[in-house]
Amino acid sequence: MTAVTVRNLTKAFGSSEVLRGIDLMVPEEGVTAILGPSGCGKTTLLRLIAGFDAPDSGEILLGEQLVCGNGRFVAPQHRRVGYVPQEGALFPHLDVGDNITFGLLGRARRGGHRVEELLALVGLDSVVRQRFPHQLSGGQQQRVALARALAPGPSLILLDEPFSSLDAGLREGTGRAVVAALKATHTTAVLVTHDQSEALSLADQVAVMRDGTLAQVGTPHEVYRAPADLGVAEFVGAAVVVDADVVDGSASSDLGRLHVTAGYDGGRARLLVRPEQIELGGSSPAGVEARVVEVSYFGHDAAVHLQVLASGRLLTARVSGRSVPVPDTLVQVSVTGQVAAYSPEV
Amino acid sequence: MLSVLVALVALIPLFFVLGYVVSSGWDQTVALIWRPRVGELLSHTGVLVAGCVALSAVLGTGTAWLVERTTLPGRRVWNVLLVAPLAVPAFVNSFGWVSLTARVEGYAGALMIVSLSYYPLVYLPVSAMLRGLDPALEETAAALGYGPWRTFGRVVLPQLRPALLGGSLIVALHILAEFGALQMLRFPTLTTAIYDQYRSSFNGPAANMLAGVLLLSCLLLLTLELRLRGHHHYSRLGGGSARTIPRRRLGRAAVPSLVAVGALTTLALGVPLGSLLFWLVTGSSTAFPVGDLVATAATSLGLGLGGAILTMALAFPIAWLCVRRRGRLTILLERSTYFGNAVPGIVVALALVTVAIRFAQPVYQTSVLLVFAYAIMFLPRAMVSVRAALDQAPPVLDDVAHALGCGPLETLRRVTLPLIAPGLGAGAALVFLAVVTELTATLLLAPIGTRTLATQFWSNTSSIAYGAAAPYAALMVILSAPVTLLLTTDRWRSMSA
Repeated sequence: MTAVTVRNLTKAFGSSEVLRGIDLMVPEEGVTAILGPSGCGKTTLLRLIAGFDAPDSGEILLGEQLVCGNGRFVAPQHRRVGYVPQEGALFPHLDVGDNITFGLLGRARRGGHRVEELLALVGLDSVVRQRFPHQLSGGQQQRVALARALAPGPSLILLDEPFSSLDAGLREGTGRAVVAALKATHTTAVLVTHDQSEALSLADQVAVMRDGTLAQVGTPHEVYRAPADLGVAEFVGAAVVVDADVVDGSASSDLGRLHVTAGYDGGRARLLVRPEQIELGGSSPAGVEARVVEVSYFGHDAAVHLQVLASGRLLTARVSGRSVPVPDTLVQVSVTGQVAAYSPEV
Repeated sequence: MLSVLVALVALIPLFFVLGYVVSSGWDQTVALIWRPRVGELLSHTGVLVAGCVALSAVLGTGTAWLVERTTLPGRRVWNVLLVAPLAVPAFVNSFGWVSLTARVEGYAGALMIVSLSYYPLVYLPVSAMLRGLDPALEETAAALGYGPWRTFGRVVLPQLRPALLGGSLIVALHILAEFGALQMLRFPTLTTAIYDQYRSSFNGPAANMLAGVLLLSCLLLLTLELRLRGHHHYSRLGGGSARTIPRRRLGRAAVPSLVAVGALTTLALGVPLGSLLFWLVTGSSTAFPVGDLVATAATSLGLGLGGAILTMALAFPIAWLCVRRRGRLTILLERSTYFGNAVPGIVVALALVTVAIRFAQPVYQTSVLLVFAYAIMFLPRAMVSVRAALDQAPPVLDDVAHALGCGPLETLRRVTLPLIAPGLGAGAALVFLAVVTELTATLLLAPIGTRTLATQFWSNTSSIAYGAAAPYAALMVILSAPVTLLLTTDRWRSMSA
């Protein structure tokens, strides 16, 4: 079952085309992340799905129901879609309990029986129930906003950069709590973000957006390991691009011999090497010699900036924090695993 | 659509004057305007506006800083006392002085008394702004080696600019329209001259032309303020709850500061109230016709309520557009509502009389027309409040409410209204205050037999029956006082500034 189907959606504001033909299927009971740089149109897409704006053309289906397109437009209040905006946007005149029950009807709202349950679901203590939004931390506000969106039991939740205003320490924990709550309620979610690690770590499906179109839709593993093109590759993670000739699934380059993923039929190619594929100090005969320029040590791992002696190429390797080389020493560099290849024309 | 209609209503005085200029032709227009008398009035008005704006800005900013940012003893009390002059209409203030000594007549007296009446209009927005400033900016300036004075001049003052400019504009517009006080102080400006002209020759051409000159001055001020304000945004970056700002210790400056603030409140509040009391007790013409007093007070209250409700109803659609759909047209609509404040009540009144006689005969000589005049005149005050109130309800909250299943009406009831209600209340209170103390338009438009506190006060002072006038003035002050007090509380202040 698909929770959301978007077909050939376009939207322009004045003369600037924000969405240029978007096609997207969001599978049920999973998190789909829409990942893209700011200004790529991802928030606009989310607002169209929610029904806050109407598209210029195209169709949107929620489940089997056509909510937009073919002359039909269902207002947001009739779509039964949860919405968690940036910075939570809790109602400042209501306390946490009243915020959460805002979307419930009649007796359910006045009784507020579900508040405790929803607070527990998003990992908050019930003591916050009487507090007002300005008395909460950013992470708490975000969790309350999610609880509020979940309260009426929507089958779909839309999250617009929900964690971008949180500091790094809070971001991961809040993100995990949010996803856990979504899974527990079997709710489908569409998460808009510009943060690659957020998209890769929280989502089941990642849609990479660029200039109003979707460049690639796939699992986090697919978009990271086999990106549709080098642009996507460089957006979803750090990349070293190597030009080489591919012969029989293998290429010789200034980084030594590289194993190319199946499917590229030979000839000149641009190869994608991820920093964690670069291994240091190995005694592999395929390796080349490089000088350590600088080391950024993070504890759990380290980024090692290297210069290949033969070609002069500068590159960055990501290595475990257990054994980190010293600057200005020489190390043996080799590439492990398979690398994706792209036609040089693109 | 509705907004355009409201803007058109607000512009009736402008159309009236323009229509007059067009119908009387170019030659006559030039002949009427290009006179030494007009030049004299214009320079009178100009120096008075400039002087009063400067003095009000200094008094308002200085006292706001003392109350909000220093350890001045008795700050709560001063805060109330510094706003309190708003409860005393300028013409009552002038009455207080003139009835004691004739030496306040002329420019110096007018400058002092009018500034004393209007500086709270600067004090209110500036002190609200001072309260909201991010202390980190001043700390950063200090860390960069700035002393307290340089910090104030280069960090604090620029941030106060929107509040200071906004307040100054309101002061300037008030002075352009001021009639009662200046008439009493015998300092002729464009507005008092128009009144005299109208009185001597009802609907005379010279008066209409003067009104045109006055309108032009108002237009000039509005564009000047728009230009000075520019496109800067002084928003606070980053979220988090605000820290409270450490106050500057006054130390040895405490006593002089206290004396200064004390002197100011004595002059602005003590003298007019003392004088009023004096006349109440000793005036030879003092009388307390209880029935009359109650009846006029009831009339004033009723007109105040009606004016407040109509004005808020007219301001709401335009303010809504301005906040939610900002654009060239909406800015134009917003600015057009400002005219009312700069056009003297008498021009609004005569424009409405003309329009009513021609197009809406049944409302002529009714309170409806009078209430409409109030709405045109006080729309700017309502606009400021409604806009500030609407800022409390960002559109994203509407989105959230829609997503939670609320239709437009339910969203309005459950989200928007609760958030903006305090601001709307503040706006309505401000308009009420203005209506109760309005004199000029009321003198002209009140149906025969309708007597308000202001008109009764005026007719008594005109015949030098100071004692008889005093009870009406006292009632006006008493009616205005609660609203003014409300303005000094935190929540209301932030809504109205």
